Amino acid sequence: MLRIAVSAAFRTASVRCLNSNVVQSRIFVPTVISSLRPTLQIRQYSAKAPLTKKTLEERIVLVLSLYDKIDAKKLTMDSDFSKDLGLDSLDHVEVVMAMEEEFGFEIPDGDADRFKTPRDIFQYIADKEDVFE
Amino acid sequence: MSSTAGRVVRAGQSAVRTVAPVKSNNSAEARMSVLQAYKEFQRLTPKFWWDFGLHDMPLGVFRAVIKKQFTKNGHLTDVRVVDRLVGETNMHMESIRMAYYNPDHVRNYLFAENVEAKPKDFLSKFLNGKE
Repeated sequence: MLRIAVSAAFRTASVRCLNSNVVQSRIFVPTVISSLRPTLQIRQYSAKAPLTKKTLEERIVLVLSLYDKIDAKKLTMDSDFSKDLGLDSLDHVEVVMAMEEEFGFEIPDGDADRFKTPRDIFQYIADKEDVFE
Repeated sequence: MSSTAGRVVRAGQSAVRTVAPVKSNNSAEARMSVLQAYKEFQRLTPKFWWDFGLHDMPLGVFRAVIKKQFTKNGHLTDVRVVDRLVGETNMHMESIRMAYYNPDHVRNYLFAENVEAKPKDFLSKFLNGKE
């Protein structure tokens, strides 16, 4: 009889202890986060590097000449991607993806379809990024 | 060929079959969807390459392997067939993302020309113990 009573008392005590822990943590944890870390930002990015027409052109030529299917010797600003450089439509998609990565914004497929030469890309990015001089 | 149900049978009239489009209404739309699928696949490729342990080849080589899967269907002109293949590609991409495929199956699929061909004629089947 005594044994049963003692074990029952222990059980209720432990349950109460658990309960109080749970309640404490529920109340406590959010207040800590909200007081110590007001903003939870994983990554912090700087602004994009300022572009001029000269640096823009250089960056486009650099990206294109590093693409392994383009012969850097044949590459000029007015060489046609499909005729002069021999790229097919899938390579063209990859070129546009490289440009997206380089300049940090997405180019919609409808616009990307109209790129025939590096100069078209240059003009498009200059329009989008407000490059005037 | 005996039933004429649903066919144009009058002589001299060119038979026109109208079929419901799967997704694209014309070949330009189908082309666009292929290019979109290709773009998405190339974005997925580095993760695919790494997650499935395919990094015994360089990433550039693997990108070319993926490209070959697209160019081998380059001769297709039927919009419905193209739509179906684009749909399959999207399902493949989903399965790759969710890791539903096994690395060995991926290898067998992508490098099917290296898999030993199944015996076709009777004698080779017999010698392989199939019959």
